[in-house]
This record gives sequence, C-alpha cells and structure tokens, in this order.
Amino acid sequence: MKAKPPSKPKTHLHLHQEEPQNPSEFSFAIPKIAVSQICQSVGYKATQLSALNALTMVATKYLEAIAKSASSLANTSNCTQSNLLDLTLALHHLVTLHTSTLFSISFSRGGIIRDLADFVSFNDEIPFAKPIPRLQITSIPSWTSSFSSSSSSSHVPKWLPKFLDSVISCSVNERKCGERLWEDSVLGGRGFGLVDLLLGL
Amino acid sequence: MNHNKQQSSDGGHDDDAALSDFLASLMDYTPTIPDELVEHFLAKTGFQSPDLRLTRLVAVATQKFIAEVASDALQQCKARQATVVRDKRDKQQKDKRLVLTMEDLSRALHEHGVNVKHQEYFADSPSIGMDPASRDE
Repeated sequence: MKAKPPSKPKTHLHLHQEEPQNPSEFSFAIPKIAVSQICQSVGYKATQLSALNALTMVATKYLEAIAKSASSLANTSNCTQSNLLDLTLALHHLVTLHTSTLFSISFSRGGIIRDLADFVSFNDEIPFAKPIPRLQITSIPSWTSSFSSSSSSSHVPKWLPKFLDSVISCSVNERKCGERLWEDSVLGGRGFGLVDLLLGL
Repeated sequence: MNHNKQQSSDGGHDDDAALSDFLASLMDYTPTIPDELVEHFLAKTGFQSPDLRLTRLVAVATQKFIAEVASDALQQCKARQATVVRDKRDKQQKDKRLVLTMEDLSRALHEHGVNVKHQEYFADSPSIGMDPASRDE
C-alpha cells in the first residue's frame, strides 16, 4: 500500500483591496465596515464581496433618502433646519415604501419612534470597529484680549470700539426673546399634536 | 367627558416622558455607523440640523433597516441549508457556515421594496456555450 504524499498546506488567497483614493471611495469604505459589523451581529460568519457592496450601497441610499425627505419636508414648511417631526414623517414615508402591506406598520399602539426606542433598548450597541480620531477644536482666540494689548495689536487703532462679547457668546440654541429649538422642549413647534403624531396614536 | 379628557392628557404626558427619555438615551447609545459619516451624508443631501440626537436617530434607523434585511437574508440562508440533502460529512461541515450571498440578499431586499439584480454568470466570449457547428459558422 503506497503511502499518501503529505498534503500540501492550503494557501489562502489574500485579496489586497486597494485603499480608497478619493473621498467618494472613502465614504463608501467606512459604511462597508459598519455593514459588515451589523451582518456579523446578526449571525453571519462570512459574506460575498458583491453582496457586501450591494448592502452597503443600499445603506447609503437609505440614509440619503431619509435626509432628502426630511429636508424637503422642512423646506415645504418654510424652514431651513429639519426637526424631529420632519425626520419622523420621512421615516414614515420610507416605511410605507419598503413594507409589503400597510398593516405591518405599527400605527395602532406605537410608531416609528417607538420601534426605534425598542431597537435601542433591546439590542446591544456595536461601536465602530476602527478608532475614530476626534477633531480637537482649539479654543477660539478672544479678540478682546488681543485688542487690549497694545504691543501685539499695534496695527489696530485704539479709538475703534471693541467687539460685542454678548453677540459672540450667545448660545445657538436660545435667543434673547426666549425661543428655543423644538427638540429642547418636547411639545411645541408648529402648534399641533406632535407627540400623538410621532407615536402613532 | 372630563374624565376622558383627563385620561388622554395623562397618556400624553407619559408619551412626552417616553419620547424625552428616548432622545436622552440616544446620547448614551453609540450607533455602528459613526456620527461623522452620517453627518457627511446628511450634509450631502441638504439636511441641516445642529442637534446631534437627530443625527444619531438617522444612524439608528439605518442600522435597524440593515439589521432587518440581514436577518431576513439569514433566515433565507438557513431555510435553504435545511432543504439541502447531505451526502457527505465534509459537505455538512461546509454548509453550516453562514455566508451572505447575493441570492439571499436579493430575496430579502425584495421584501423591503429594493430590487437588486446581479449577473448569473460572466462569459469570456460571445461564442461560449454555443454548439460547435454554429461556432464554426
């Protein structure tokens, strides 16, 4: 009986993926990692490259569709900034598009926001795999101090008035008349039952 | 009538509290999709909002959608593996590995209203698959 020759070690073919060269490739490579993490959390052990690319494309298109719908809803209300109501209506429109029957939409007891709240509460968070360097915003140099010192700001005449600190230091979210962003207060905005609309009651 | 109005107002206060709690919890929850990437796509389409909670809400909604699609594809994959006739033990061990394929993904996306089509095969030349007689012509 002839002895079998030792089996050759299996060589794994490493596909060297090229690094993204332009911003569009970079903005596609990052969601690809996130989508692969989501697939792994669901239970998959591996994925085809074409399937991963297709699912990543769908994710980016879904994201853009939500944003586009929310911004158009805000513009029809003569607003430039979108709020929670615009976002919720945009999600409602997308849900009606990608569900097979209208009865699958949870109109009776909850709504889109409640479904998302349940998803957040019952699913473990999956942070992004790669470390994200946060941009450190240095403190804005105070112009008043530079103007006060005569040696560093000799080019500025002394008889010019100083900058108004109150205008610079006012918060974005609150005006002098007391108006606040709608998200800071639960009720408010455009004057109708927003909470009921959001929760589908 | 006044009792019904009071009940509806109490229910409304509970919903307000639930909504505010959810918006506050979004600041503690880290979505898989980074905030910077979501802000890039939001800015690309003209969405403006200084509130980070709305950005996280969009990220969570996208993550939920992708998780649902992947879960449906996984069910398709498991159902397909359950119907496969197992001939050898090697095939059994190979088939147990769950792999996301275009076939399962296209079926799962079709249920969510997204039509994805892919080529079944790619031919090297137009004459591949033809009869030798017709190929000579």
